[in-house]
Amino acid sequence: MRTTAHGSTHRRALAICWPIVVAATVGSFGCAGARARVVATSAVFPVSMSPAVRDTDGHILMEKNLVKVGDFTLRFTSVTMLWQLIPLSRMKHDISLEVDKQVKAVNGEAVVNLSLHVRNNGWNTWNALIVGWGVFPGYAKFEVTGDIVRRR
Amino acid sequence: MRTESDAHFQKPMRVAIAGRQGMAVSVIALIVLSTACVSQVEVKAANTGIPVLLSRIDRINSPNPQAGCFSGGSKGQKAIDVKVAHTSIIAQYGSTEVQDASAVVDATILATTLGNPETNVCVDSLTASTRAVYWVFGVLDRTMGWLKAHPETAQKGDK
Repeated sequence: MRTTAHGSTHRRALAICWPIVVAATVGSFGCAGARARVVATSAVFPVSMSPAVRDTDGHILMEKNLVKVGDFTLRFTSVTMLWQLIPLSRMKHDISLEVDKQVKAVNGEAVVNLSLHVRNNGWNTWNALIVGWGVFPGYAKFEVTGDIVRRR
Repeated sequence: MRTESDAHFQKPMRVAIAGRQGMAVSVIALIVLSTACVSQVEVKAANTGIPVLLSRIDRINSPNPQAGCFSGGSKGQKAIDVKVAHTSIIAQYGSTEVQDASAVVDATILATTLGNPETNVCVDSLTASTRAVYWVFGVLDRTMGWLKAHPETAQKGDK
């Protein structure tokens, strides 16, 4: 009799607690994947996320003052595991060398309209929801794009 | 008339119902929260005339780093015209709209104000704390803007 009552209480506690546990676990799914810090601190050329860049004398140059001479594109993948706690690739991506190389190649003077596009992927969802609940490595693809320009 | 057998069957029934409710809650939570797992984030600043720099070199043909953060400019004091396209709006500050809902992107963004290099402003990445500050400033800014637009309400409050 005592065993039955204890079992019933146990079942009831389970019925109340397991949704909370599942919700908490699901809440951590959002942390699965990867992250990266993108910088261009040592680039020789100015790299702007807006269409504007300063001229040598400090004046703002907009699109009408600039001519596009090429596209800047850089793709990389960032990998982490255990809900991004353990990085398996570089977290800080310095794009300076690639900027210098691509700008020089087309005889440009600056990069404008730089944008950073991050795509999550099916594996992260699979990893987070079914296979590893975010414990296994996840990754994200980063695409940095921009316009290589020079003054008119 | 309740019998002993009815009472016997009601307990498991309640547990089953609680289980179904829990399942429903979990499924909804799963759908809502898993959207974070399939998100795409795009960071750009295409709608501003202010240079938003990732490089320390802030002008063409300049041999020396001159961007705000590295020449004594203030850091993280003011949101600038950085637009981050994503699913939800985190903050609005003045004419600036900062949108971000993901920790995936942590780009370092240096910005200089238009026409006045001495008051350069630096926004150092879209971290959670930065977003929280933007949010607070956004709420304050909107409140002040609303009060300015409705001075009669502000005067009533003073009385």
